[in-house]
Amino acid sequence: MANFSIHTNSDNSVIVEFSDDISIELTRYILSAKEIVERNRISGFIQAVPAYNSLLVIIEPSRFSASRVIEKLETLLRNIEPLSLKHSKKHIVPVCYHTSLAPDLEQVAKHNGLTAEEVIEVHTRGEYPVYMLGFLPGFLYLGGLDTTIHSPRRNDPRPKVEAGSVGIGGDQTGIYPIDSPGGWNIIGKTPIPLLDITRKDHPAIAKPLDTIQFKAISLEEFKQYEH
Amino acid sequence: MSIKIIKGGLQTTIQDLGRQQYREFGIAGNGALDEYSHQIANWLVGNPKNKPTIEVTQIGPTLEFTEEATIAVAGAEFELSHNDQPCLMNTSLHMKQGDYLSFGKLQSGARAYVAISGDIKVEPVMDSASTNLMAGFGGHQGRALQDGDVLDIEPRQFDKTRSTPSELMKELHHNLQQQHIVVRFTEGREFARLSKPSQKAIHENNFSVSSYSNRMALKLEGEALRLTEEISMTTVPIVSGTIQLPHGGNPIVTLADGQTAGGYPRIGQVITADLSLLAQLKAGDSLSFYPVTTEYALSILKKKNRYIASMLTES
Repeated sequence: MANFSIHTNSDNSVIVEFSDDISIELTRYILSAKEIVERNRISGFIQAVPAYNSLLVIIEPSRFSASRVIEKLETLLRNIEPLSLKHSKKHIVPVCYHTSLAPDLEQVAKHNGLTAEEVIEVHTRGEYPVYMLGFLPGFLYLGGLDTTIHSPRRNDPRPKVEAGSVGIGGDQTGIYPIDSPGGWNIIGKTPIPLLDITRKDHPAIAKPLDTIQFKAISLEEFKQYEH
Repeated sequence: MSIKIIKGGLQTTIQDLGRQQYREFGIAGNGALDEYSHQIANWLVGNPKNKPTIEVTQIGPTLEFTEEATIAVAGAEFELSHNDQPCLMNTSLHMKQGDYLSFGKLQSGARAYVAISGDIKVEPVMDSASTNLMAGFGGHQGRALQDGDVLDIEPRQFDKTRSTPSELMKELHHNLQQQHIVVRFTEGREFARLSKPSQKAIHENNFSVSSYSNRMALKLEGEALRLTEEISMTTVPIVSGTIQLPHGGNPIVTLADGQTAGGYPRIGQVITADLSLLAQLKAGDSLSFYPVTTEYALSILKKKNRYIASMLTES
């Protein structure tokens, strides 16, 4: 059972805030709540946006009444069950950890007293659950990074990190889906596209509750993808 | 027909009313920052309000028309010329084959909208013609217009000459001429975490717009706002108008191209009716915030929408 409270967030949204600790179990409740909200279209409903421990429900402002929406959601979400994992998938993401694509791999290794090979071994061993999307189009917030390769963000963020770059920032690992400024330590690069704008219902490579595992590929294999 | 972009201007993009249902994938709403001026420009050429317009930012473009077209410009006040002769904003302009429209000096505001009777032919991406500059999709090749670009237009004949009603014009002009803009906000989820003096300062102090502002966010500078104590925030969904407070104490207001999730305390939320005012701010401009309740924010929006609809009648 997930505990939550619902609050006015803006003049076109309310936010369902869950008090439980962040976990995959909690994410299952939040996604279940999202499905319920989507199925029972409240008047003026635009979108439900899930996050680590909240669900934002956006309503057309001309049809928005905070008290009515809150009351309706309290009823709808009274008995939520965690979402089944039967539609969740594991995605294997190829990553080339070659020095030419991994400017900070040595730094991450040094910070943790490991060799670069050991960092790659730990990074590819993990299976990372997707908690939410956001920050950049198609960016996956992943959990489960092994503590032995945590590394603080760079003091001097790069003005441009290329799309596909795989990084470690603090206790998180992730993939830059588009070119963007960024402060994470870049330890490799995937050749696969992370955003497909032609797939309207599913433009990212994964959805919350899916998992990601990285698979090391050689520079030659990486280059083959580019053709 | 087509429009040749002789000069691209500072940041000239194709925008409509945006894509509203993709935030869960990290994709912002995009769309015209000043929806009202976008709507007025479309009305002046007989278009429905969701047709794409060309959003012009501070330094405008020069456009050449390969065939007859009815166009109009609304929003920020620019010196405008039609084949080197001064011409008016806020009225339908009938361009002939080979005519030029060029933007001159910006007099007030920051963003204007060029509407063309008919349609700008771009492939919609996720239900919208709007340019997503960050991810490089939508609009014209996912980017701002550059010198030499050509836009395909599906023209629609519109022989009337409409002008923005003078009463509405007066109000828009007044808003744009203000030395200081007041935008109304509702309390954000972390508003109560501001120190008591900062809770007052947010609506008593003036903030100035930093030069780092863009379509993603307005970065503000002023006397730093403080929390009673540091809060460790979990990443949460944010929307257009969310006022966040990063560690330095200078607020950031999310705009239409902004991130969909944020990790700073949400001290406030600019009301929907006032988002268009933010679009007209540029570096160095001054603004302050005025607190209202959500109910009042919604009544302001209803009144504003009703007023605009009553001004822009089909005749």
